[in-house]
Amino acid sequence: MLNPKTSGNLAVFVGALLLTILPMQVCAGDLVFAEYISSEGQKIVMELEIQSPAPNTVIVIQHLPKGTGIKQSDPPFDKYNPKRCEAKWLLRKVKPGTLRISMEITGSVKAGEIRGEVRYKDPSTGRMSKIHVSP
Amino acid sequence: MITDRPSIGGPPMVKIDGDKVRKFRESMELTQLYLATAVGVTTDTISRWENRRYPTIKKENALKLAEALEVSLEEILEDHETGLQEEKIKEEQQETDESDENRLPKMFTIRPLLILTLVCGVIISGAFWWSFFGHETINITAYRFLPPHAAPGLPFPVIISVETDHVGSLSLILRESVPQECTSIEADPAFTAIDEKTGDLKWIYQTDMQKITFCYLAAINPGAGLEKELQFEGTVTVRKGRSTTTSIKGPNTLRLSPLHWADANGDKKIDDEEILTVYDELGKMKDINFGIEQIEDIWSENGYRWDEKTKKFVVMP
Repeated sequence: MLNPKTSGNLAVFVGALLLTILPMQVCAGDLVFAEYISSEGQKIVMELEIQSPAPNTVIVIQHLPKGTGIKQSDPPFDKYNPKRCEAKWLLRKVKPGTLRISMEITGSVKAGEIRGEVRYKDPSTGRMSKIHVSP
Repeated sequence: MITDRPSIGGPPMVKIDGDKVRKFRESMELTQLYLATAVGVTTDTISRWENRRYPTIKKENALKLAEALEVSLEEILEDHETGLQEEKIKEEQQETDESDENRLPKMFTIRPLLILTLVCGVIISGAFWWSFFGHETINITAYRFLPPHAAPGLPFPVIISVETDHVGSLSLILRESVPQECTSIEADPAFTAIDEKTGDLKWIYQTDMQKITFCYLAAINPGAGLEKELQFEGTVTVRKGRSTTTSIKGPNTLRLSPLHWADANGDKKIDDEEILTVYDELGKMKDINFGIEQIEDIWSENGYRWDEKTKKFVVMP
């Protein structure tokens, strides 16, 4: 059995260790987090959370059901492939923080019918990362 | 006057003509700071060399000085005839001194003491210098980003990334030897010098950062034949106490082909990874126009083709 003083010290030690390890896990993981804020109906909104060090450029891809187009988007998309029903955004000079991509589509979609993808290069390793985003 | 024979225990020394150095420098409109950075000495040293008539300096430094002034070593050395006259005057003076010594026995006893004191002073100063600066070794790495291919007549970028472990101010000289078929267009930071005969590039740069990126835009002569391989090579020299030279690593071969430089895999398209590489490598180079508009057009459309007539890329809708 540990006496109260020893167990108190142990708790402080474990706490300090966790505080040290947890931020390391965030750094070692993805630099970009993405999720859908709205994924049903005619308006689709994807939110990206950019960590530091931010990748210089990020590509966001939105896959839509067949026959669906984009009426308008903010920011405007850079590339649209009607055969694949796929829109692409090239986000330049990205900084840490939150980015939001919203689009108004032709027709109405259900949550399971859309999916997204985020591509970027890790600035420290130069390695390409791909994140799949589902509602 | 060249004295390849090293001075006692030291490096080979030469006598330069301070007036000539000043005249060459002024005719080229160079500053003393420029010369100081090129040679790796202080501006005070350059001033001293220019103001003294025939200063004796290290041959190694004289060569760097001549290179910076874009003249041969002989052109900045003391004239041979003048040198002989000087030698004669010195010899005569020595003879007079010696005869004086014969007449003045006191000098004979004072001189060895003076020489011994001077020698001790030099040794102590040398040891002091060595203990402070002599052990400092600067680790430096240089890496070149060179596209695998480029089309004749169209510009392509070359990036040289230099990293050092040195904290604080540092002077570096970056030399890049480009193939004869290649013409350099612009650079960020700007070139310090371009050799008119060879086209070789030189940057003299002072920085307190540990990572510096040099970028230049070049183009291959439109008449150069396709499928030819061109070689690039270069070195980086840093000076702090002693000089360290390292060769630039990374790709050094560029093939002439009808492919866009950003199309790394040569599939006549620019995919997501390729455009991200372009932005990552060149995004910070605001002053260099490396054709990002066309790269984005090719990426957002269905690729490109090479038009043999216009010698340009055509974006495929």
